[in-house]
Amino acid sequence: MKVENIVFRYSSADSGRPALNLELLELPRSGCHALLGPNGCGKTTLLKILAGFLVPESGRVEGNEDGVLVHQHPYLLSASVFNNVAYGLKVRRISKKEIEQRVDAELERWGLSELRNRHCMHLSGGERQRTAIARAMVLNPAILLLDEPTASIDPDNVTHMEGLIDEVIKAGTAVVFSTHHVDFAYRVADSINRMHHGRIVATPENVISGSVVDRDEGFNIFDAAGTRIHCPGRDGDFKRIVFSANDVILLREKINSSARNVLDSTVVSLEAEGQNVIVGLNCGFDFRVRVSSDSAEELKLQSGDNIYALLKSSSIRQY
Amino acid sequence: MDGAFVQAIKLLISLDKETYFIAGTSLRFALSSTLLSAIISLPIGVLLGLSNFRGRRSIIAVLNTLMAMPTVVIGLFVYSLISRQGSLGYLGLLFNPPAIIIGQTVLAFPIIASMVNTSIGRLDGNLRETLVTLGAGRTRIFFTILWEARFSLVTALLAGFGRVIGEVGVSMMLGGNIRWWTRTITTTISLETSKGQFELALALGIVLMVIAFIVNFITHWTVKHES
Repeated sequence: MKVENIVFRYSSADSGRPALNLELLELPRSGCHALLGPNGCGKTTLLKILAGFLVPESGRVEGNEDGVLVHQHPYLLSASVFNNVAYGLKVRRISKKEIEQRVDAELERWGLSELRNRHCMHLSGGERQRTAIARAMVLNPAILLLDEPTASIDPDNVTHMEGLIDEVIKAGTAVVFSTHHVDFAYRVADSINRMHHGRIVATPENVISGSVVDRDEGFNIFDAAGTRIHCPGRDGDFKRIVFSANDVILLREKINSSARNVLDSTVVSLEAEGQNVIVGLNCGFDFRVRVSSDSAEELKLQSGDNIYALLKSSSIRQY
Repeated sequence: MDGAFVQAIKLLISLDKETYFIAGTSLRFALSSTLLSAIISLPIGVLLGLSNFRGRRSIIAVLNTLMAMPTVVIGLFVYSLISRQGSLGYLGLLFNPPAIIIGQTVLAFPIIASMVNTSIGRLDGNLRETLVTLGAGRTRIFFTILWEARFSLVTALLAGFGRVIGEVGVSMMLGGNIRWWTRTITTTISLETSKGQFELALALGIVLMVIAFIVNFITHWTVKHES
């Protein structure tokens, strides 16, 4: 999906700051992508543009076909769970038998079989959310757009929602969701797009997936693609570590230091960014480091070079 | 007067042909005009409730004004259209059942359209987007929205029906109170009372009260069900 030079205002009379003003945002049509930001930053507006409900006054949107949006507070039809999930299929004039098979399979997948005939008026917040997701997923969409998926469920069900999103991705559907819930975004999303005042704010961050495999001397040992990273010792089942591209120091030679992580890496890309250079590295997983152009020149960085990356454990956040 | 009341009850119990014919005529006219009015006002009410076009507020203001329009004024307008000199005079509708049905349709229209607009406007703002995202076309969206607002719509239709079943101005001016033809409950009550003959008027009054009670009962039930 590609959103280019989008400007959107809710009222044409509103000549002030637009609700959305994006130069460029590219999201792969696979995996899970978060739009993270405070209320009023334009997340929902962007989702509605991706869903085709809102038309921007300028700019282009590409690759957003076959997306289904699930609202923050989903509207369920005044009917049973079954009939809600079946609605999109009925619209497509699919045979009654096939509708029944597909809906029942979908209800099973989302743990809603027991609620099949229950009227939606009698569902809890979490059940409503699951019904809305099942109703969208029964259509096998290419993209599922979720507006604040954790907003109408209690904190205990947030972990459950993470599982639901994993399930959607396993089914081959890409997920784009908006949230202001930082922990949730980092735990679930493959890419984080921070938004502020209707714009995407560049985040020089590295989000690395993996799991905590050990705890040692007050540190969590996080395994990411075979590389072990020392992280601050905290309890929890963490799935992601995050560190800033500014918090990594590059060294030509390995030295003794207080930093717990010295990552033996290979330079894979070099990209100029004003006075700085973004260095793409791989140490088993890919990550980026921002250095000044002068430093890059002094280190004589080139693609394919072997280099050490120093990362303090205290610079790492775990989700 | 006590005697008249007893006579009225007797008319009802003995299934007096004229009493029930008049009641049937009133019901027939009121149901026909409510149905006709519903066909016109449902799409308009839904359109007003869903869209935000220029002039929408003015239309709603006009509808609200028309809701309070005296029945004799509506009768007068329709009369001027369908009387011999009127532009529709050649159809020969005056003092015939269609004339009353047209007048009552005009009477019920602003009530039903305005109430439909309000009930559609009260529906969750996400409903339409939900239907669009699930792939529904315009016609499907229209009927799903009507279904979602069904209890409010029933209330709107009953309000329209209540307005026309109890009106006297339109029926009198456009129907002419012709026996076995255009005589309705209200025109009969008006005529019989002025003649000092209360039996039939009272009997029909009771029928009207029963209809009003049934309408109110259904309205009450639908409102309760909706909430």
